[in-house]
Amino acid sequence: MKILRIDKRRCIGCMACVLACKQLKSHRGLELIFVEEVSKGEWAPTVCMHCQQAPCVNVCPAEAIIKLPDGVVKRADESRCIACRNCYLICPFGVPKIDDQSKLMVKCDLCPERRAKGLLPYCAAICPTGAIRYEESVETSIERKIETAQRLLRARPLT
Amino acid sequence: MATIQTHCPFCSIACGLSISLDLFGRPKQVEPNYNFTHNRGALCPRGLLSLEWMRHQERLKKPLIREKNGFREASWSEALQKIASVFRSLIENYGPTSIAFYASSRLSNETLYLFKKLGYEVIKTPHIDFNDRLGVASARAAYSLSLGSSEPPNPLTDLLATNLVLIIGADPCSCHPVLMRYVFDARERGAKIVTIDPRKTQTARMADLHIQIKPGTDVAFLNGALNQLIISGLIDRDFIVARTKGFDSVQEAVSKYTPARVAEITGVKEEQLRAFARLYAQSPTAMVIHSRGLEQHQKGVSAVLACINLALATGKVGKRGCGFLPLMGHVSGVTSYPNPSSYGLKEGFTVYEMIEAAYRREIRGMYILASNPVVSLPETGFVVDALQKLDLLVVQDVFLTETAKLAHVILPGSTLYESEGTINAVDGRRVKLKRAFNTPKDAKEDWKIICQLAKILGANQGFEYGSAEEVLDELSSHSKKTIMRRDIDEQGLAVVGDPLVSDKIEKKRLYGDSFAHHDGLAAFYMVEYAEPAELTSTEYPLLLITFKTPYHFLTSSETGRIDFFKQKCPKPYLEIHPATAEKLGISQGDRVVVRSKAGKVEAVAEVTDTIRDDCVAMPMHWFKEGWVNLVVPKHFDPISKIPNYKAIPVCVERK
Repeated sequence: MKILRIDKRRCIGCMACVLACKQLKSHRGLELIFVEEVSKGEWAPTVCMHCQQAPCVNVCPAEAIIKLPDGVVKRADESRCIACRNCYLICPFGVPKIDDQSKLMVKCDLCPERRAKGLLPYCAAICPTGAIRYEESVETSIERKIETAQRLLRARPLT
Repeated sequence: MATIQTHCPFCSIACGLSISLDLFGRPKQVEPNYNFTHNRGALCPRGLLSLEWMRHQERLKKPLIREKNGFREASWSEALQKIASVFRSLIENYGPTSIAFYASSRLSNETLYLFKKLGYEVIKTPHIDFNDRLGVASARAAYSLSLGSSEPPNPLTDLLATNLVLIIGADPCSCHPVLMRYVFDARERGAKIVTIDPRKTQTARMADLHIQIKPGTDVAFLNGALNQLIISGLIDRDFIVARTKGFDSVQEAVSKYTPARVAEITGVKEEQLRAFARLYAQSPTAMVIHSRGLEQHQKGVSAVLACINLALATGKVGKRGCGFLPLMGHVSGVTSYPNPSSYGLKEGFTVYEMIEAAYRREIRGMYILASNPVVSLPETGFVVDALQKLDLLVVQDVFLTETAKLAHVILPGSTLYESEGTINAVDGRRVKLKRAFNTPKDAKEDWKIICQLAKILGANQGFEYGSAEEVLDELSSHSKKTIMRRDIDEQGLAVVGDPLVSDKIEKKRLYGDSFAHHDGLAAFYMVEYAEPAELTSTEYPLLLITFKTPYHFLTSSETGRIDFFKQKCPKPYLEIHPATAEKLGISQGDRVVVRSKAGKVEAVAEVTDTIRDDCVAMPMHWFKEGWVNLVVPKHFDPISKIPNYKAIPVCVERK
């Protein structure tokens, strides 16, 4: 399946993804992608990983969160969610959020409206530096290997 | 629901974007344009939030005239009549040279052309200048001198084909985020990134090699690098003989820049200089990106020339992946032509000369279009005094800026989403701006205001245009003549980006076969490191650098009105190295006073090891508190007249 891959070596912490995510109509002004400054100049964007064995799906007592056939872990069904925070507590990435207004859990669905139109998820499209990519997880793993190999081959002390 | 495709009004990448409108024609949201080649769907927060300032409640909606107890609203005819009558009496009593015009170049080609036409043709004053003077003036002068034209030589896509990206005195991560996509893509294809900057900026962190140089010493470093290349025989002799002239004098001059001497001047270790020279020579191709850090010095033109010398000596010019990308801070209309000589006038004053002339009461009327010199020019106190001496100050802008507060008449203008026209991007590519929505209430499009003013001032013909396109046609007829002459004027601002490159056509690479000088050769200019007029002393031991933060833009009259940026970066601060801070007894968050010969300013200390220990740095955006130009003295490059904003001797103490 296609997921969002973060290239930390490209993230400059500009927050364009966060702002774009917020502006999406179905998000009601909430951002579902997060960028934290780990240390000065080191940025860590966090997105939903759409886990194969998603803990949020497993712990939901109301069976409100489901994994769709295409692999996307869909946000809680509004008619079922009881806002118990179980998903929010168990997610190792801290991705699910409880919307205080609607008292519902919200998380990234990978922009289904945009994908239906053939567009990339908004954060992947908007990222100025190309740090967020929407791609097959197999591709990602191959590219990782090549990247690291290249880096090691090229590695030469500069000073 | 309609969407309008136009371009971002902020940095010079000119990202394509589309604005969706509701049924009443009001703008709803900005989305990126997926088809424009510069950004292909990417957009940074400035573009994404640009509607917030354009629809801000503080927008000027009606012309204002100053009375004894503040401003009062006036009608357009009253405001324009007042301007016309004062200008007429000034011309009658003191001659047309008593009036000066100053504009931001972040306006469409058409607006800037009409602004100049009004000045040169109707008022007949030669004194017209643009805020390019504070930005790209040094780069343009150096490119004209050396390569024959100040046009940006390479398309953006050349970054993807290069082996080395050399970023000197620029922080695209903060100022041109979308450009970093090109740089990172290049890195993925195997390119190295080298930055030369006194601050460890976000860009410098991401580089393979960061040379933390002492501000204002780039000439020495680049000359030293060239010397290393000559000694090691790594220069391209064939290219030098066939395509350039004047190398011998440069060779002799740079031989004095031994690694030991360079290390002493620049504070860069000898090994780093050698590593840099080796890396540069070993890369088959190299692209140089430079910006204000290199240019805003008393030797700004020399620094750019040193940079060009290095590229010329190694033949890294005019090929795929080889050349230069001089960054403009913002999208820019063409400012260099028509020039005063096309109207039979002499060269006029540069902006600071205008301010000085206003102080001497030589200039008595000023028309400032969409610029905020009170915040942006050095020695603020002097600028304010000078502007207050004017008989008439007209400011046309979208907000009540610090400059507008001093005006006698304020005209409410338009933003780039509200007017038709064309504007130029970083590589000289012209893009078309479309009007997405109307100006608020009585505000008008800038170019229409200029036409109206021209008519009231008595221009019988020549200001009747049905559309902005007619203006562009007229401008283009001027451009051909100038482009053919390709010579440099005394101000060093001759031929700029050819506005005839259209948005449909990819920008072409220049200098593949010949340079723009008459003989087709590029000229080496011998440049020497010279000590600045003001050196650090025991009284003023630190060097102050001014810089842009990632969150604000120029004088922050726009980004300062967007909540997100205000929250992210609410206060001016002073970056200071932990060692320096300890010596001065300053800790994180203390209020400090920065003093120079020109004045003093207060800020909050931000202790960080990202800056050299002999420097401090302050962002340039704020007024009221932290107005950094209060301490920036009047020192200019002799050729480009760019002020020195980057190396100012100061002292810092705890308040």
